[in-house]
Amino acid sequence: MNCRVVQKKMMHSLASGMATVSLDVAEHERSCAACQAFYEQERALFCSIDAGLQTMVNQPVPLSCFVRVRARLEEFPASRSPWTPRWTYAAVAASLFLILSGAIFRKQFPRGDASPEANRGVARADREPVLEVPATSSPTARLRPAPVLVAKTASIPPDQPEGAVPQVIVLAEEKQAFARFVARVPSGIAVPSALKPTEPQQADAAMDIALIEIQEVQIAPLDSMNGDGQ
Amino acid sequence: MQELVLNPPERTLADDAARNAERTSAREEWEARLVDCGPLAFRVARGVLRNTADAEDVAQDALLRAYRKFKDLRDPARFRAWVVKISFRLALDRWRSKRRREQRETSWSTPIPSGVSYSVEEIAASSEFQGRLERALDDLPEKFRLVLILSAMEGHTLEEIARLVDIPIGTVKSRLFFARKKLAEKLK
Repeated sequence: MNCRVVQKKMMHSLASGMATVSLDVAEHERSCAACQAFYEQERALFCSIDAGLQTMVNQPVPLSCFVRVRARLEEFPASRSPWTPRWTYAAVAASLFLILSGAIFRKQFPRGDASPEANRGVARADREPVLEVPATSSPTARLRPAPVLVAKTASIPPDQPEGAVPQVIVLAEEKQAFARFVARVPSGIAVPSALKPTEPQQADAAMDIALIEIQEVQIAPLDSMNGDGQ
Repeated sequence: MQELVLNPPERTLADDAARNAERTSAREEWEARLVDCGPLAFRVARGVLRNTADAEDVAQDALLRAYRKFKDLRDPARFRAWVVKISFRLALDRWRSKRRREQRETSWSTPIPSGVSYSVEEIAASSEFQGRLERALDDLPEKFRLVLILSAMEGHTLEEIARLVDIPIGTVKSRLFFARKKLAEKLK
């Protein structure tokens, strides 16, 4: 048998923890000094590994270890589990989500804006015009929808009474006091327009547009052109 | 006129006694398990960390964790295996963080042989071979390392190791074979 094969088999048997080697390997070992030396060397190596591992692992357990475990158990008895239940995480997450969504909602719709019904009548001309696509049922119209540009501006409907518009409630006494104050202001001093009593707005008068009248047009031939041609 | 009164359930002396007895028996059972599995947890941790103080900390954590989760364990007979796994995982975590810390420190300072502080006995017992063996053990894959540590412990047969690691006995043998072979190759 080849020495290399024998040494491989020796290594195999030593690594697997077998105490003895197979018969053919033992026979070769007796006859070959090199393989015998190899086997002794490898056996010593594996013995050292085992001894080293045992020294490493089989250390005496310090008594303080168990004393401390018992002391820590007294601090946290089994009945009072230090682990929070799983549903608490879900509850915390849900409450956080609610708080965040509420904050976002408030940011987008502030308190004055919260109820659109209350602000009916307030013109919002600054709003962007919205492109509306009319709903059609015919298939051709569905293919090519005709966009219609509609400026969405809220305005006071003509049929709605004035009282529907939200107004600032001013007491009668305050109104009278304000009128007295304005009357007392000298005419020479520039009074802010906001302090002056508002005049009733006059409706724009209808404007007549006169049509341009063009008199009869006469086309006469030029004299100079007649003289040249002769 | 009749009055309705809600009476709380009365705690009888018998109930208290039963509860106390239950608590005492649970404590006794735990104490028995602590004596049985405590050294195992410590040695597994010691095999990974090779430092008594760190191994003690890890064993304590592992035992406390096992105690807290003891009610969740379906099969109480597998408590030993459970403790071994917890201890091994915790020890590996600590070993990794320790190694990272050492690498960080050594990158900024002059290299030192080891960041671990050994006691006088440990220094006396350690040798060059032991140091090389420890480094070679650190390089082994985790599954090989656990089997090797358990096999090095006193009184652990292959069947017991298979039960503790929850693998077939053939797998234990093959893992031991490869672990020892790799160690020998590295130590040559």
